[in-house]
Amino acid sequence: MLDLKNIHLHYDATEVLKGVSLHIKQGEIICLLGQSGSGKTSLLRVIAGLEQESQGSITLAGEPLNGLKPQQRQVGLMFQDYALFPHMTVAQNVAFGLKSDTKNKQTVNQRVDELLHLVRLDGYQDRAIDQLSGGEQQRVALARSLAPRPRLLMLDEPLGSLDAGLRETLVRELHHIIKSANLTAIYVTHDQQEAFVIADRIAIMHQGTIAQIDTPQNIYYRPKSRFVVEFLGLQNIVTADCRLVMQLLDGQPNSDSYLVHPKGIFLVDEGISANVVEITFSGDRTQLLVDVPQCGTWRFSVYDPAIRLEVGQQVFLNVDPQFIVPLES
Amino acid sequence: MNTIWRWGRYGLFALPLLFFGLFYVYPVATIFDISFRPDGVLDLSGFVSIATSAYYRDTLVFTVYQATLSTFFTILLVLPGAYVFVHYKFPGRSLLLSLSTLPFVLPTVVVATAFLALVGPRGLLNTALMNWFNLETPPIALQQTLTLILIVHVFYNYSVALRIIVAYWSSISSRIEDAASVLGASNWQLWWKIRLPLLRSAIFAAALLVFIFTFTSFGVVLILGGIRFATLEVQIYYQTVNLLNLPTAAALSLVQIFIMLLAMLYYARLQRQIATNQTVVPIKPKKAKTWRTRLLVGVNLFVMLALLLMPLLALVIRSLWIDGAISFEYYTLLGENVRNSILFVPPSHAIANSIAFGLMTTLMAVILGTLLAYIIGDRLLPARVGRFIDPLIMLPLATSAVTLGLGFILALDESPLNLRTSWVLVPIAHSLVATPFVTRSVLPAMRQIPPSLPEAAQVLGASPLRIWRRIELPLLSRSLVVGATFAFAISLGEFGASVFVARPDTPTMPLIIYRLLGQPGTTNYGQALAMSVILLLVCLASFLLIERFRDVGVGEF
Repeated sequence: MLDLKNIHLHYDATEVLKGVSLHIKQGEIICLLGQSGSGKTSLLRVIAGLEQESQGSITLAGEPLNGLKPQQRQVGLMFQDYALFPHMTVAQNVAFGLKSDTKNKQTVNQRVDELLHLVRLDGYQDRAIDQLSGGEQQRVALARSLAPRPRLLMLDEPLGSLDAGLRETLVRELHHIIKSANLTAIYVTHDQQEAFVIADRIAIMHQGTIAQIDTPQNIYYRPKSRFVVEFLGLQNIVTADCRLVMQLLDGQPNSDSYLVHPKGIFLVDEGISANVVEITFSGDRTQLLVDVPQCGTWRFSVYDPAIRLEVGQQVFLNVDPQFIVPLES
Repeated sequence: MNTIWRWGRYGLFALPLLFFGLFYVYPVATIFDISFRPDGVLDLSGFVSIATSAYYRDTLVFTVYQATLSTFFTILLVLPGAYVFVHYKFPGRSLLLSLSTLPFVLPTVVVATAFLALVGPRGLLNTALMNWFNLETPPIALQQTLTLILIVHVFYNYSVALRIIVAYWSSISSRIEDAASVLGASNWQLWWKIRLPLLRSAIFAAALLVFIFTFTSFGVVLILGGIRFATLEVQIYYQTVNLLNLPTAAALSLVQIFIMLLAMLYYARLQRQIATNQTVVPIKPKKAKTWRTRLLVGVNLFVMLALLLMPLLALVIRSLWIDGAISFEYYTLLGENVRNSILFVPPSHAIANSIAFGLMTTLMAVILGTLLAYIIGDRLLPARVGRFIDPLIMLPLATSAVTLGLGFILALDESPLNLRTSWVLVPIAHSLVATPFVTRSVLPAMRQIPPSLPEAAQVLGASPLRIWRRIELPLLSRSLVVGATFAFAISLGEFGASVFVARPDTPTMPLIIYRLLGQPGTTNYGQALAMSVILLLVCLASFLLIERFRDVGVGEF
């Protein structure tokens, strides 16, 4: 459906995108996840034609997009600040991308009603933009970008400016709307929870390149590199020095470093010896930071409310070898 | 202690109100009293004469006509210029944007003289063309035409309008234009459906300000229009000085005050509408890459530079170029009191006079303007009081400068206020005009000080005076410098009121230039040019000072 090959982008002297290649299938939701400045918004703008790539090719449904103006690309882009036209009503905003003349006024109105119904804003046609709440503006922006039936929908941090509670409900709603319309979509965010909920595949971006692209499950359980591990907020990286773990690997170590995934660490009565350094209670679980001789400090969670521990206490751990992930150097 | 402080503050606030009462309300009221109640009986013959006479109706029509045309052409030229400034990067962009404030501090007399030096009968272009093609008469005959008046008005207001529109445009999220493009809007649709509607209030505000400035145009029309053209302001001057027809002059003044006040009130409302809020993603200027965009940038830059710099350069060149050689003769002549001169003193004395008046005006305007800013913007008085006074301080700007000057002479001639022959009237008149500018520079800075700052100082035990000296004053200092420099530049260039209140032996520079221009002969003309160049240089220095200290925009103007 969408094919990006080796996209480079320069802003003056700085290279913002350094050779991004990406293939997106029809009906797939790809999430670009990364810190600010990692190039995710720039990639969207290149695809939309708002920035001119310095190298690389973009093909949408077999048709090369290079050189086409944004007006000619038939893609939808929903902006982080929504970019609603403040001087127009809700209906005028939604209808902006529809080819309208006197003859098809009826069809245009129909399409506007249809979309406002889809985003659950029936009856909002004549509202002024500044009368809408943040969540309502977000939905108008979505309706506006969907109205011309874009071949590809791109969303740039669509929930960025909303508060956390609202985000959780809206991200599920967005997922439902995109999937029920069978749209191909690229979703940009810096929030991994959002990415996990909405994406079929996640592309983690780092300094203008894609650090890893995979399903949410694989991104979380099989991170490829130290950067992705740290980006996901995980730690527990061990090197070949940590013989206790190497023994579990069953054979020669094939990498310099490994992630001992917290999901694969369990408290047991007998096993790897460790000392409790820190205990953090966070509701549904208790996070432990333990010191494992020659293997550094590991962080993992226990969910059994009956467990009582103290700082300095010795504990024993078991590690599931399936959760030892080799990392690229 | 607290009570003393409180009453002391009220006393301070009374000062500017007293000043405006004494030197604005009283003189203007006196004129109207003398004009409409000559013998203690109400006599509205002035109104009757202007209402029934086609002559005065023509003056009003011409005033509106030229102001409308000036506004139209200014906005027409500014829109593409603003587009280029907002969207494209080019060498000298920021320099040019700051250079565009320059006309704001240029005296009308200097600008009029500069345009005469460029396209007048003895101007640079005409003399050059006559030499090259051996012509007997100057080929460019723009003097005393509406065209020339319009060109000068565009020169003056281009930059004001450009600043307002560029500032507002830059505050609109760039994503809005992007969104329209992605949704398939054509270039034409971008202009008509997005840009122009979004900029509407900024364009209105800019247009209204240009209209206000050109409606009251005095020096430009007086010098360049000759007897053929008269705005209301010029007509008021003729009626008082040449015809001694006070009732008519006063009636015309009232008409002008009324129209201007309406316009200013409406402008204040528009201004609140376009109060810019910083957006997350302002439009980022790009390099012009295609030949079409390069051409667009190039043409606009050429118009801007030609409009801004050519007349000023012509003025300098013409003042130094005598009979095919560079000479300072016109400048040295300024130091001499030529026999038969109509002037009582050598013109060079006017330089010292102007600077002295300018410094006095600056001092007065800064004190009064800051106090007024506190009355309007501070939390000390109820907000209602501030909102009431806010438009009132603009009144002196709405009033014809000529009326103001005349009022001084008529009203302030009895003890204890017998100032009629005192030089003090000049800086006082200038302060009336300059004070609103100081207030307008200081207010935005004052509104930006978060209330938590003085509160924090208070909790830390600072006295009110210490809070003012250590917290507020330093935060206001930059805007004070800007306001002070504006006051200085305004005083240097003020012409309309000075005509009346300056004593013959203490003339200001604009007055000397005007008198010299009215005299026959090339040496008088040359001296007018030389004096204009000197005034230009002083104003240029003030302008550089303003640019050095200002962050964005001309305060709230």
